[in-house]
This record gives sequence, C-alpha cells and structure tokens, in this order.
Amino acid sequence: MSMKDLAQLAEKMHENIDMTDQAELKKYLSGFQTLGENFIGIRKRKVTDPTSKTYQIGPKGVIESSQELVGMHVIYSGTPHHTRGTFGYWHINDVDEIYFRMPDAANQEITVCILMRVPKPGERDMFAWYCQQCSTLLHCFVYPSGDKGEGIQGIWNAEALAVTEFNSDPRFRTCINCGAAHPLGYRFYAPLNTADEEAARLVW
Amino acid sequence: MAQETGWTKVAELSEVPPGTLKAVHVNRDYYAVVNLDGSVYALENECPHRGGPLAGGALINGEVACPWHGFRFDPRSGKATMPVEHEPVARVPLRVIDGAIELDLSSRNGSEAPLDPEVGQVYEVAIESEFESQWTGALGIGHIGEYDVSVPRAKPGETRQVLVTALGKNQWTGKKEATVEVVA
Repeated sequence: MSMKDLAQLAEKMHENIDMTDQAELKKYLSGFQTLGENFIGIRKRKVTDPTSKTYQIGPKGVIESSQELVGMHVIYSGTPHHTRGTFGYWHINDVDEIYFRMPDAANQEITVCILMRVPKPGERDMFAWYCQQCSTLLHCFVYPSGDKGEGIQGIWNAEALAVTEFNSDPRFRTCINCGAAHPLGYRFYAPLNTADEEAARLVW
Repeated sequence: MAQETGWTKVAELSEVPPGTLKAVHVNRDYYAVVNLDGSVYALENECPHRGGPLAGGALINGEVACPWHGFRFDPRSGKATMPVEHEPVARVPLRVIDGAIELDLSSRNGSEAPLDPEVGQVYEVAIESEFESQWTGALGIGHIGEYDVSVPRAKPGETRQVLVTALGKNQWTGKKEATVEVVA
C-alpha cells in the first residue's frame, strides 16, 4: 500500500467513521470492522500507561514499539507481535499491520488506527507463545484465515481456540529449552476470559 | 581422486561437532549443516517462514530453531515441528567421505518419481536417534527415495512392520505399512 493509498483510506475513514459517535466508535474499539478489503480497528492508548506496550520479535530480538506513535508504524507480515495487557499471545499474521495516529489525539491519550488487509488464500493467522526467559517458541496455533474466508470473526474464533488450547496443558506452557513456566494466555475481549486468564492480563 | 558429479565438499566433519550447526556456502548459496549426535544433515539455510538464517539459530531438543522467530524444523526430514502445519525446509543430500562433508547439489532442483511404498517392500533403515523408550526414529534410504519412518525398537538384522512416510519433494504424503530391515 502506497502512502497515497493510505492517505486516501484515512480520508475515507474520516468520512465514514464519526469519531464523536460513541456507539459507532465502540465497534472499532472493541475489535475490527471490515471496510472494503481491509480490517480496521481503533485503539485509544495512554502515552504514560506502562502496561500497554507493544513488542515485536525480529532479527534483533524482542523490541518495544514506541507508544508515542508519530505518523505511521508497520508491523511487517510474519512478525510476532504482542501488546501487553491487550491480548495474551504473540500474533503472527501473513499480512502487514499498519498503525497510524489519528489527528484528533490529545496529549495523554492517543488514538491509533490499525489497518490490515483481509487475508488471501494461503495466508494464515498464528497465535504463538514464546518463553519469557529464553525466547524459545513454546506453542503455536495456526489458523488458515485466507483459506477459510470467515472474516474477522473467524480469526476471533481461532483466537479462542488457540488460547484454550495453550491454557489446557501445562506442557504447552513449559519451556523445552530452559524449563521456565509461561503465564496463561488470554483473549482480547475480556468477557470471554476466565478469572485466571484475566489475571494473566495483568502479568504480561 | 576425481570428484563425482554433484557432490561438493563444504566443510570438514571436525568443524561441525555433535550438537552444533554451521553455515556453509557454495558460491552464493548458503546451507545449514547440522550434527545431531554424530549424524550429519544439511538443510537449505533460509527459513521458509520469513527467510531467517537457520544456521544462525540453535539446536533445541534435536530441532533447528530459526534465530528470527523461533520456528523449528527436524533436521532429519526438514519437516516443521513448531508449528507443525508450517511448510518444511528443503533437505540437501549429504555424505561424509574421509572426514569431509559433501553436499549433492545436483538434485536441488531435480524431481523424483512419486513414492508409493508397497507392503512387503524391504527398505534399509539406519537408526539415527531415540525419540521415546518404545520407539526409535530412523531415516530410511531405499532405492526409490528417502523415507522418514518410525521403527519399533529393533536390533540390526531384525525385520519390523513400520509406517513409512515420504518426505519433501517426493510429494507423497500418506502413510503405509511396510516391512523394513534394520541394518545399523
């Protein structure tokens, strides 16, 4: 996607999404909506909130994305990424995720738009967990989102299956390399989590 | 001694001690050579996930872990082990001659006939390592290709019924029972 395409999309979003309409906004804040060929979500983040940090894994290891998002940030396809306190797994998808700051940001709370293309056949969404001590991949649930064609709801359903599977067996959460135990996984949407899973949200 | 067509020396065996992996290259192509408890294998160096250099990773429980995102592969077969649904990494035929590791690069882009083992077919199986107490993992090398098989614990010379799974570019993904002769 070129900068011109992105600018046009942002303009389209401003035309279609009334940021003052709380009911409308809630649909985007609580997940993603499909707009054309893209999934779009909106997140409000407090710049000073230390529990809301996004991490990604790449050739340089685990790195933290800046919370003071200026302009645009891209999590490239295939890159494991995790936002502390928001979703309890490392998401690995086969499409780029583009984050850009909405222009109505306040000083202490920024509004970020997340944009990703709807997966095409052959593309997947993976839900993974890495050892917090040595970064060994502990468990990975693969959902062929592009082949299923079930839209964003299919991905949420897969998220539920992945988290349930990871939490169901302590062997999944025990590192085969160093033996460290990993906290429970948890879903993005809090009401779907057990009390123990919600407690894990506070931990990682 | 003239070198056979396709086989290229890439390293001395002493350069890849047991439990290690090493990047080797022929011209501009890199490969990951793995010494798994004394048995040596070669894989394409590029991780099929996002192209990470496998030889720069680690051996974890006998599996090659990519240094970028931790995806793991069985060096004996190239199959992905975590996540298992992922595409495999291509194996490269390897042999050790007089302490030298050689790769057969002539077959990298070649195609083999589809594999369809028959019940009763005798395969030679070289024991490589133990998975669990009751089972022994093995790499079988037959006259029509290479197979990854699980062999009940057996002594050399014994014959066992096993499941034979074809690998890689053979493109045969099913399983069949076959009789194998354990030779070493």
